[in-house]
Amino acid sequence: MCVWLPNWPQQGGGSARREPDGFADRQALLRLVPWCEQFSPTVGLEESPAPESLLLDATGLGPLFGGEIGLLKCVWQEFRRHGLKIRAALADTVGAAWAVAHFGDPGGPHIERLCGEAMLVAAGQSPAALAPLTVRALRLSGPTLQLLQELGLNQIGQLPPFSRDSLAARFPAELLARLDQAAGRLAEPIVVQQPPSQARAEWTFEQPADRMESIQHALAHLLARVAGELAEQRRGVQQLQCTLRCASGKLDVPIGLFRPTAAARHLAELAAMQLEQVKLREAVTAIRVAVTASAPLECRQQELFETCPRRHDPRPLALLVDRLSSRLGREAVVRARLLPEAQPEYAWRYEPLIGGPSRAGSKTGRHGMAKALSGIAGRAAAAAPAGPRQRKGRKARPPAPFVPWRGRLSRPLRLVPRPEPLDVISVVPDGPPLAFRWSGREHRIRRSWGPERIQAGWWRGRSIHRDYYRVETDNGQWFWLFRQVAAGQWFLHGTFD
Amino acid sequence: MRPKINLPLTMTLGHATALPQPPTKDQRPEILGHANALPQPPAGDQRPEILGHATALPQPPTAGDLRHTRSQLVARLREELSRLERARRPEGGPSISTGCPALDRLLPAGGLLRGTLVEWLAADEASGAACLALAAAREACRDDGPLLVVDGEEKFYPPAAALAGIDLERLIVVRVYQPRDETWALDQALRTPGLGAVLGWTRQLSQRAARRLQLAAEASGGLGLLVRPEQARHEPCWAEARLLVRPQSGEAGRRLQVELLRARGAASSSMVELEIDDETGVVRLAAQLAPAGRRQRSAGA
Repeated sequence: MCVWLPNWPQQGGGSARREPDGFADRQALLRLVPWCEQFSPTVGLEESPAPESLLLDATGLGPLFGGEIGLLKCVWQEFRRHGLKIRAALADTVGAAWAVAHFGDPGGPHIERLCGEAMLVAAGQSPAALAPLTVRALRLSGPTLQLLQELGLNQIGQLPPFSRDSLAARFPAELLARLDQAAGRLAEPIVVQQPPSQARAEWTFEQPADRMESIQHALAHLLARVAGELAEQRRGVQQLQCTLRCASGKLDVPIGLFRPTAAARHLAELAAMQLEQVKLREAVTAIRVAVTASAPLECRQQELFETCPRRHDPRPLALLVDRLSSRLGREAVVRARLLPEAQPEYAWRYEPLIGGPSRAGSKTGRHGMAKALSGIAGRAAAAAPAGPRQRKGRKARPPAPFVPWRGRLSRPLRLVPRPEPLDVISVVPDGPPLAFRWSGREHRIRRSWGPERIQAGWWRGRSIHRDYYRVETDNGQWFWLFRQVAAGQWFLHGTFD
Repeated sequence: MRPKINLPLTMTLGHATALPQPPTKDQRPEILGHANALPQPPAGDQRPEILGHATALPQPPTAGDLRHTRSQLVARLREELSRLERARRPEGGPSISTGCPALDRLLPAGGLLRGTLVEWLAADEASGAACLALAAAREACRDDGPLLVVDGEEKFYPPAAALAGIDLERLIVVRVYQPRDETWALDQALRTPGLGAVLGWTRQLSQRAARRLQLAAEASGGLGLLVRPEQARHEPCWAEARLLVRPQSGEAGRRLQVELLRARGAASSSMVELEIDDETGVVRLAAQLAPAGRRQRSAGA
């Protein structure tokens, strides 16, 4: 059975969140898993970077609910009762259930509508039920879908007449695999999701503790206990919440890690680092530690001859990222990603290294983190010269609506967060600048390059229209200035430090 | 400093085993043999104790002799010091290029060494010091670990770094808001083995913090590149090298004058004029042309 929660981010997040966060959405969906275990012992998530569907194994469960109809009705009603909008389908295979849940027409051929959008496909009827559905119901990737569309194959029913050989020769392997999965020729197990780990520990002080040492000592003890508990399952802590309870209120200390760890000492160090920065107003009565995310520990075989160990080992780097993020905050330790944006202040985005890159396009938060680490610590791609890589990267992105950057020095290394207004002298109103005054000094311009006209932002509701000039002053300093074309006002936007 | 000693012909020798050889012209007292016992240069009226049993007073040295021995002593001491420095440093392998052969030649080690700090003093705002530091960082990260940038003013602009050839996949930016955190982050990063380079803009750096950073880099074999304002030139230097970058007005690309203010094992300050190519970003020795016809030019306008 497949339960689809359309627009899960909005449903799950509750509030209107602006940035979709695959990692957080997934975590929210995972929290539904234990609750769903009232219906089926095997509950999993669909495999997707941004999963929206829960998969439940309904094999042999019918009699418990008074038939499969009863099971489906029960699921439907329970979700409705909690205010969640779903489309649910029960079919022979995961593939068929997914297809019907997403694209099935309630009341269509061979699809039995029970209530609302809960649909039942009777045993053995899956191929017939799928035939009229669009090929998008097969969970194919973009290029394959496009290929099918170009060939005019829009319905699943159009595919079976072709022989397997011809399908295999003409399309990527995933097409046959998905067809087989939907028809039950290829097994598709539901990966049981580990519910968010339950590892937790609590400590109640006999006397409220106000000394930092005793609090830290108790905390270290608790951390060792939960880390040990997880280590028995060969799992490590990835996210953890420490709660200090006072007489009136509580203090949360979240700890996030770059790599899962079972090292209690490292956890204690991170916790201590955060505790140093808070001021406790009251004595602490109890401490609670709960692991909110865990991941399998990586077993790394020790190499016999490590010729140059420090260059290969990603562990010190992971510890560094943990430490920095713990004291400075998750948003302070970031990686940069270029965006195809014309407006210089939006041409890149910072992504926290901890908590999973939100839209990195990788499968899961955990994998995303592993990818981030291997990307940073890895050396495979290191030797590639920067030039071609840069060009390749730019080619892969959708064409950006701006003039390509002409030279290596066309952007300043330091960008002023808010452009600073300047008094500028120029010969003609539209001409290049001759001199300007900035930070109490007169700068005469000896050379200038430009204008580079940048016109963007109308889709953000704040359209900009600027003429950028790179200027060299008498002293040889390089600045990046722009003139607002409409108002004629000059601004300093960056320094070539 | 140390007067040349002429042994008298008549000597009462206390111990036959401690018979000092009459020093020849190029032989120096062997007191410098042990590195951990660097001698204090003796004051003028102090007589060397090497000849414990010699009774005769040494002859006053001539001026030419003095100059000769002094230069030898200085050379010897310098060699000794650099040997000591090297011994403390982990095996960092060969030096790393700064991305420009002319700049490498300016440095005593022929480039940058792992386990050290390098200070790039910017003579002014927008002077190009960070640009050179970034070029060096790019070389340091070419086959080693990632680059970590500590940005204390929310001004670092990654697209420009990408243009300069930095692989953004392996760039970690640490955004800090307090000078205290900035020094701490630099210290933590320099302590971590496996990073290609650590780049930071430090406005204020106390002596203690500077020393800490140097020790951190030594401990892990990291490379710290600090971009600092010119005012720092009068502070004691813990870094391996201190370079002052002055912008110059150029003709084609961007012209910068780099002066080696201080470096371990370098005799005197020297300077070099570099030019950064606008198109390719290559840093090279500026053509030494007479700045005769300086033309007011506005390219592209």
